[in-house]
Amino acid sequence: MTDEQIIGRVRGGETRLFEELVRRYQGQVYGMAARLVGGRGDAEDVAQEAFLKAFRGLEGFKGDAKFSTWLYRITWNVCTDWLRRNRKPGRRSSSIDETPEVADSRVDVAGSLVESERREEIRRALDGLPDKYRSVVTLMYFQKMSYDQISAVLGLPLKTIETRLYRARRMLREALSTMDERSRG
Amino acid sequence: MRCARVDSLLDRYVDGTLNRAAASAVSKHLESCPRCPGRLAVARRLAAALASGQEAAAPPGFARRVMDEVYRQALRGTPVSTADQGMERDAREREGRRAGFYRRLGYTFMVSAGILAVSLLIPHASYLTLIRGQHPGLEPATGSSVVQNVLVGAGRIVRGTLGEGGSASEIHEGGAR
Repeated sequence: MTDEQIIGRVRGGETRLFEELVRRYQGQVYGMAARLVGGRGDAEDVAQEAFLKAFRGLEGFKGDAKFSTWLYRITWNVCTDWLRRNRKPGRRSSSIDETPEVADSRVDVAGSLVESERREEIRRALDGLPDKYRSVVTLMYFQKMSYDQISAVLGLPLKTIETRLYRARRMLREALSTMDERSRG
Repeated sequence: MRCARVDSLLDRYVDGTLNRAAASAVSKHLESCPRCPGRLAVARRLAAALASGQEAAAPPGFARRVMDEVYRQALRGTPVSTADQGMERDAREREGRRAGFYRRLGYTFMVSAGILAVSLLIPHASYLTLIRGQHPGLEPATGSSVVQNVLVGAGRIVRGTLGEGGSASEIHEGGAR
């Protein structure tokens, strides 16, 4: 059954079918929340809030965009609201791959060590980025979204997304270089 | 090509999204530059780390919990989000505190009014009883006679207490004159 078919039936009163949409997108929505707001408990609250908002707004969903894009946009809005309300100066901003419930845990030990070191490096570097850059990197590399999708989710022109991604990667490279220099010194 | 220009193209160079001419120019620069290969290594490390980002999975039972909340809201008929629930709960608590304050204020006012009434009326009533007991022929009290009788009663008490000759009503009448 397609998303649109499910939405039609949920609108027709078959509320239980909404669970299928939750199951389809919970990884993406939860992952986005986990990476943007931080702690697991907060991420679950934010993800749940996003789904509830989507459920309530289903009547108003016109189908101009894909359901997934519409849902991610809601998630993004809930995340930014949460950050606005809860962000404190100096608070750790992201938790890239802090979540152990990754989709595939079948990796060799040595490989996973290298991976985890890399992830830790990136996590620290990402922590230092302003939200507007961090969000683009998160959606691009961790949520595997296309430029078009990111543009639709964030409601920004494609050019802005490209510029932010370019600047974000440059800042991340600088941060990694600084870390290297510190570890050498 | 200058280092600054190469630096601005490095990420796309690593991603393989540069056009052939630009990629070739970057490659040529990297062969002769002492600093840019280091930057290239960092760019490659970054690209590898970003590419290794794995999709997070929602905690077990997440979908079930979302649906529980969906049904709860559907049953209530007025969908309220979890964040809204918190705000609604806060508002209810605030409203409750406010109502409690006004209720307590009302009780305090009523009790104070009662105490005031009792403290004003009971002594007067006792004066009236005292006066009527001493003067059985007195007419039923009217507004002005109540005041006068009270003053007479008060005068007796004052006179009795101080052992003086005047009365409070005389003092009052004298004052009025």
